Amino acid sequence: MQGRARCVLYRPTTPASAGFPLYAPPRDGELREPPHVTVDAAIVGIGATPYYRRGGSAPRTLHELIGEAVLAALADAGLNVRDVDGFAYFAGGFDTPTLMEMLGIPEVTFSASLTGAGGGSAGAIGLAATALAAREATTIVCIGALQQGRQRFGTITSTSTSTSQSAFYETAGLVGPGHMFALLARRHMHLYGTTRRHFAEVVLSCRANAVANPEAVMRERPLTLEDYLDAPMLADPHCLYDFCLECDGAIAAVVTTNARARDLRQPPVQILASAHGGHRNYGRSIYWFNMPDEDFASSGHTAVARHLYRRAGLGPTDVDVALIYDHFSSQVIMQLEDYGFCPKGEGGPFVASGAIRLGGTLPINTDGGQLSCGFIWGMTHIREAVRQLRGTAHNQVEGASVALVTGGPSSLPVSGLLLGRTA
Amino acid sequence: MTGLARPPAPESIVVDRWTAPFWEALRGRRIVVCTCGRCGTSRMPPGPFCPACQSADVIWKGVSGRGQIYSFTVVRAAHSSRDDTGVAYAPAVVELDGAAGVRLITAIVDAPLASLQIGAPVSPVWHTLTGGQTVPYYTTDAHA
Repeated sequence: MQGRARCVLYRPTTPASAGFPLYAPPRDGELREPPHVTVDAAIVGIGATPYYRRGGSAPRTLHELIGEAVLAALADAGLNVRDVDGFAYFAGGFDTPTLMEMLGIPEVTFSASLTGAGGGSAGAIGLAATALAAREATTIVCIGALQQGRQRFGTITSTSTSTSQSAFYETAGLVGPGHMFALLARRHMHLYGTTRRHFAEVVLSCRANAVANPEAVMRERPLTLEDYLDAPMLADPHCLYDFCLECDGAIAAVVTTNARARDLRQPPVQILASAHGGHRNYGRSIYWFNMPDEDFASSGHTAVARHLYRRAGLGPTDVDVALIYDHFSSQVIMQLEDYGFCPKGEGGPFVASGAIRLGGTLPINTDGGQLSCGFIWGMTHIREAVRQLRGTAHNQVEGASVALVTGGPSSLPVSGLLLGRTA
Repeated sequence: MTGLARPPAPESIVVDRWTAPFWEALRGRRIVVCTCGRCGTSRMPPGPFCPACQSADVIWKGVSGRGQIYSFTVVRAAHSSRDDTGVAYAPAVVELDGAAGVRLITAIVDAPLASLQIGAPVSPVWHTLTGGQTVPYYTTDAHA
């Protein structure tokens, strides 16, 4: 990985060589070496349905959407259903035996789901890599799928089953995650001087990418700063556009060993490292709100970022394109900090520098992201990372060889994934 | 200006043996904080073990109930209404005085929007749910 100049306009207050707070970079020698390929796993196939607006997939069924995505992913890889012997997911609403029954998959030797409340699709790919390393399966399909015709996630909190834990937030009128994350965003503004214009830059960057992506839900809806500032304020400081889209759709990714990947149809996308988990002081985050002050206005990703970089032998400057989990624009800024692209508290100035735009030093969410392309629990980010590393993205980052994918700031675990182009 | 409204809330909440003393105290308009009987660390929500020393000894420490706004948001009715000028409500996190950083997830009520500010001192406004449980909302001190 060649080191490249970063932050042309933006100047971090802390020299990168000092190590940003909370991010412990690999030791010098490790940083200069090529990636340590210790993960014997690659993404070899991707399949997806169109991205529908919430309810737009009716009368198609969820399983029909999943079947379409899985069959497309297997065809993309040059495999068929009889090759599949494992499944890994983040979100529920479907399960392995139904998929086996529906698609005619003879036997599985691995089936797992990442826990937690965020969109852990990055972590689901990590589960697949773990199973391959343990030789518990050979060909694993990871799926993200949802239909929001009956239940929209924007108000999901208000429909969850009450518990003695939820009793502590239920009377506050926090209807959905956007209201809850607004409390973290407000605190970030207070501590670091982050502004709505910083959030807007995340939103407008994603929208500009979506407008150039014929598959994006918002492809025909360009957005200006004026539009953003005029938008209804849903949960101050989050306006309408700070919320991700509510969508229907399904995406599947096929993960297999490197040896097997070499014989397949597509250039494999190497899994350089995966990590999920997090530290106790972030805990249930938006369902807790008792995080220590240094963790409150964060994405909870610092520990996962540290493990991810160490496992890969890479650092933030090696990342060519980042697919940052964007359920809310404010959380993108906090993840950029937690992954060491800038010091803690400087995510606002970092995005304002133009760094995250196409052509910037760290293009993010090049398909338009969940804010403007489609929301499927972060599986859209897996799909876009694979396209970037195959060189087939609609908004291709020239020469992209390392992609970061993050999953789900929310109640732990959060997750991250570093993917690499096959040399 | 219309004061901030009370937020939508359930008729009742779920209680278990570890959280019951907190909710019971609220019926008497008192706030008590679950505190470790061995090392003195307070925790929220209440639970069976101290995260600092794993002791199951609990004492319930009474506090004044007053605190400061740690963070807040303002919610204006429906998700899709562009020009809704209806009454807003303000979910907030309040850090309790005298409880080493313990925070309640609540709402600021009966106060003007302009009084919302991180760090603003607040006092409890007692609210009884339809099912009978008393819960604390908060108002900024200038409007108590």
